[in-house]
Amino acid sequence: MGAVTTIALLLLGIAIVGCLYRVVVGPSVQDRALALDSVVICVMTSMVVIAIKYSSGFFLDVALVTAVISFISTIAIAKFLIKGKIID
Amino acid sequence: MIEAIVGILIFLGVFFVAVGVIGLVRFPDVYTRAHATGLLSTLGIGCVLAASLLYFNWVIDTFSIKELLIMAFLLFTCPVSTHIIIQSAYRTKVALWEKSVTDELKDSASAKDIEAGSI
Repeated sequence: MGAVTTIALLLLGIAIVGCLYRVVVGPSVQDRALALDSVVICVMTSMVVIAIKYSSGFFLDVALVTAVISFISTIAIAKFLIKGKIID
Repeated sequence: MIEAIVGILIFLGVFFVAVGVIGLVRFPDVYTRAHATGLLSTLGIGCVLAASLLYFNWVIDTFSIKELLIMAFLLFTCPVSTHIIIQSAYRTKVALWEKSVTDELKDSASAKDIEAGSI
């Protein structure tokens, strides 16, 4: 499993760089929010790959908490862009 | 044998992530980029989670069921977050691609709801 997971982590790092290109370039704010959501999903995928690499189930907890934070922050950004305030 | 399936599933998941990121970089406007990230957040991480489920339960013989929890959570939340981002893009009048064929929401009855500000 060592070589497979190492190559997979390398490709996921390149994918995160591609998402960051869209964060920097993206013409609208929603492009940037969508690209940051994709960055978080790439991080979750690499956490699961790291869990396979080190045979440790604790990294799956990291992926789950990252999913929850990603969902809440995306909803907050979109609601701020629609209404101009988050909690009303 | 199962280790080979785990490796193939990891590479399949990374392949779908790569295709989704290529779509995110190269598609012309925000509405088409949302399709690419939909591929990334269901199939990409889904294949890697299936590989993790096989690995923890059958290769090293431990009991692990958190992957199903992560996958269920993602299947509920990723369409919601993508939909609300695209709705905010439409309501703040982000322009469509100039070669877009149709805008069905513009002439329909739900456009009045959007103008009235009710989600």
